[in-house]
Amino acid sequence: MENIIKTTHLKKLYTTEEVETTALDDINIEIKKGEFVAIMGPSGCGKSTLLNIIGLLDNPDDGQYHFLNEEVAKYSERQRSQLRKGNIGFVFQSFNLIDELTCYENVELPLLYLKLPADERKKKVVEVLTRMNIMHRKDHFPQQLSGGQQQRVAIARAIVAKPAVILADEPTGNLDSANGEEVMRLLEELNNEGTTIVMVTHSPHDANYAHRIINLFDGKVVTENIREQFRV
Amino acid sequence: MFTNYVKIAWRNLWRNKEFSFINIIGLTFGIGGAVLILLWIQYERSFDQFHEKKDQLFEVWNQADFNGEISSWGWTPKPLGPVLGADQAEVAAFTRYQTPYDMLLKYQVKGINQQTVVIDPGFFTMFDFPLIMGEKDQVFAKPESLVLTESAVKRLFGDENPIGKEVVLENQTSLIVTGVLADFPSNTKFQFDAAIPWALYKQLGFEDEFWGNNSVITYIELHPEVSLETAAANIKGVTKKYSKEPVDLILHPLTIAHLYDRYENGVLAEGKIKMIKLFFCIAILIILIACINFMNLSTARSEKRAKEIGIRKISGAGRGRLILQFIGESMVTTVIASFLALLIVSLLIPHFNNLMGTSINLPFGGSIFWIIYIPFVFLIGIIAGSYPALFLSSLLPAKILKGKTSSPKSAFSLRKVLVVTQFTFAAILIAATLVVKSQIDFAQSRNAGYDRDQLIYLMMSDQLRDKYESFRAEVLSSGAATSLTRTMSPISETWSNTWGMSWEGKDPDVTITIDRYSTDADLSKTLGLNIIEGRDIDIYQYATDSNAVLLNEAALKLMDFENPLGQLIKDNNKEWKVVGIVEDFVVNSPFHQVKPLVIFGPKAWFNVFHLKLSPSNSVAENLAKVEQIFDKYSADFPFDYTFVDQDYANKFQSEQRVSALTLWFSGLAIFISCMGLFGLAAFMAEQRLKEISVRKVLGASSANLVVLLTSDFIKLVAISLLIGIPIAWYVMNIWLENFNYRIELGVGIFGLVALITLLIALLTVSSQALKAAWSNPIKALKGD
Repeated sequence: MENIIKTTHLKKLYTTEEVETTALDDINIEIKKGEFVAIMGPSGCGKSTLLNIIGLLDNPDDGQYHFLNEEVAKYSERQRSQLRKGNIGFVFQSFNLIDELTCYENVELPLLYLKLPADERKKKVVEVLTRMNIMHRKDHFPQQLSGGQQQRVAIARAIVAKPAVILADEPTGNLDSANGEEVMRLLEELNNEGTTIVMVTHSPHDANYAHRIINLFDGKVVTENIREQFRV
Repeated sequence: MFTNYVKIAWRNLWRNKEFSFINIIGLTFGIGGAVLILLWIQYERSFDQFHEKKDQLFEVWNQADFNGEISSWGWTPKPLGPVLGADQAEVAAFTRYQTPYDMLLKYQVKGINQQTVVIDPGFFTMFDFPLIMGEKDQVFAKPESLVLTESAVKRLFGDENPIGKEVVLENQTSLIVTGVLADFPSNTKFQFDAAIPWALYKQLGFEDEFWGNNSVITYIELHPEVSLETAAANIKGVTKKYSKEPVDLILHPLTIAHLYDRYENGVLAEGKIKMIKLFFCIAILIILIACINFMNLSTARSEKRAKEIGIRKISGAGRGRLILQFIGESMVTTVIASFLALLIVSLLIPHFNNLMGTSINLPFGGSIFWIIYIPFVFLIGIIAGSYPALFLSSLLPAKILKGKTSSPKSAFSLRKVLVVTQFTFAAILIAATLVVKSQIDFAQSRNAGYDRDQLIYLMMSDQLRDKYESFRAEVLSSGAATSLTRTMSPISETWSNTWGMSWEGKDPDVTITIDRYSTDADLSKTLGLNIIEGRDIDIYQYATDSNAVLLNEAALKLMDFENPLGQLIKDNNKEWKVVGIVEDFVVNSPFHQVKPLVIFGPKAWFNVFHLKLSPSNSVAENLAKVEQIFDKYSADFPFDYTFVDQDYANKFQSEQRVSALTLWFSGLAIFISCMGLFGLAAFMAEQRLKEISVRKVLGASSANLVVLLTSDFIKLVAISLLIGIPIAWYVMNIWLENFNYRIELGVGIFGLVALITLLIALLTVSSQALKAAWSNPIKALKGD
């Protein structure tokens, strides 16, 4: 299977006036198309930093990063923004919906930036909201929804442009177990349909949905476990 | 996408009502203030720009070298116009203009004083003042012609057709109404009720051929093909060719005459244009202050917007798109403000006109206004939105989503710079307001050297001229006035000056201009002047006083007589004997030093008489008595009197307008700045609520907290004062140089500026600080 994400000797430093912290050190990972990968590790181990680099929100300080077979480690913000568009969907722990926009408008947002025509946008948004079972609340504002509903809207927004990869940062962290379970099932479903999923999580239960678990500690990959049923 | 931007802009406005209100109100007043100033500037610039031949029209000015200093003035001798018209090929037309003067016009039994000018026929073809009745080239075909304005016709004839009707001028000369001019627009320097031809004045013997008597304004129209340089070169030496006067001629374009009305040492100097430039700067300052509010509050709120920006970025928004979005948001605010601004302008224009003596119209009906206004509003929207857009769009999504949304240090520093900028402007404007006000108060409280109380003057009518002595005796015996004096002009102005005066010991190479005045008797008694040596002129007691003169102190200093009494002075081919020295008194501008003045005895001429009303009766009683006697001697002339104190007050009009304008607009600038500071303080207090709560729990008193929260702002205002005060000191010293009689800028006035600015800032900020200090700490800490 073809690699969608490949990092080689990836390094990320955070420098303040007094201290230099190595957030990521010599990270070499490969993620294949259609994989579901969980990244785990204690707080401050570099999970989110890695996810940001994978998600083209940040650049590494050293090493290479191939996304869709393109070397992107030195890309400018403008180039990264271009590449993100339509290729990567994000799901966050805190949902990150725009409070001033309705559910419908939040989901529509990536399509607007892709400059799709209005009727096509409408078709896609309705389709994805229906699929997420949230269509009846499309005109509500985020604060008017429960956490689970908000996360379903966030997932709808992440997948509406049919991206190759979904990056999920603790997607169930703010949800109760029932809602969390539902979100995980949705991600699994999407993965079954072919979408690559990279998920950062603290929860071993959620990690169980993944094919493979990458464990980070102090900015380094310490173990990579492939779950039994996914071993080749 | 556009609708998405507008939608989110509108929802943001609605959700953050307090900030939106501050932004909209700030921009409304900023735009409104600037529009008002720009309309006023446009009005001032429009003076006499509507004449089709405006680029060919010039005032002819005199220019002469007096002791190494080149003087330039717009008054010219009467023979100049006709000579230029006849001898100079480049001159297509000319008119002399004797400035408006009250003359009695009588139709049947109705006589009214009307502001009348004496002009040449060229006036009607040179300038575009439409004739409602009569033909331009025919109205002055005969000397006994009279042209009236529409309003004058209404006053004199009511609804009757005036053409061909007979009107008697000054009770002596019959004239025929030959034309009716449409009333003048307010944006022209020509304002009068009636016009008579110079041909008539010549017949009546009022025209002289004396090249040294500069008493009229001469206008010429050049042929369109003539270059200004050629014309100026050819005309320059005309006076010297026809007379011995040491005077050159220069051409002063009509199109700039309203804004540039003087030359300094031969070089065109700034007149009214100075004030226009100053207020143009103020308009820009006000707009900038309002834009700064918008920038400050928008970037201060960046933390609240950060999440949205992060999400948009990860949803695929490029920086350009975000910049567009934020500019769009500022545009929505600016457009709302721009409509409110027009509403405010339309409410304020009548008051503004009243204050400034202008007649600015609301230009909303004209397409030109909108062609300028719409881009103007968009420009403001872009300026206001530019910095927030650049700043907000630069936030990095990785950092935002990690929760690191606090604004970078640089943004906060820039915000400080912007607050300092705003308050620097405010401090300068407060200083300007105080200095202008102090200067006016200073000049107003100046001892004018004469007593204006109960003092009136009237024009000397021809009827009264012959019987004045009997009139005077009767008024005095009636008890209505304690004294009377005839003079050359009202005490508030001089109408004549000369550089031809000579005296013993005068350096013949030095040319000095000396003002002329005149009296028959009782000048000091009537006006309350102080004679410091010798005595007043009194023709009724001393027959030889017909050629006596009084000198003021400035004249005495100039002539440098050791024993002035009995000295002889030559003027107008006559010899005059000094009989007294009068203490300096303010005749012309109260803002300038008193100039040398020679007061001539009755061999000079009289145009005016002053009366000191009796303090034992009421003013109304006195006036009624005087009117009765006046009517007896001068039945055909209306009893039109002027109170000298009113005239004196008018001398401050122009400066009072400057004062009012600075007060209005500095008030506005301060108001907008304070709104911004208020918003910023509210925001900072909200942002530091947790810190405040922790401090409170640890035992900080409300006073400690208020000091903590206000001190940052007060420091900024203090820096503004340090920058603003020296600038204000410099600028206001330049302004004060316009006045010889002026205040000295001391520490006191700037201390007051500092106090006012700090107090305003403190009041603005402390309300928010108190609110935060009094809040319940539990609420803020519960969230953790």
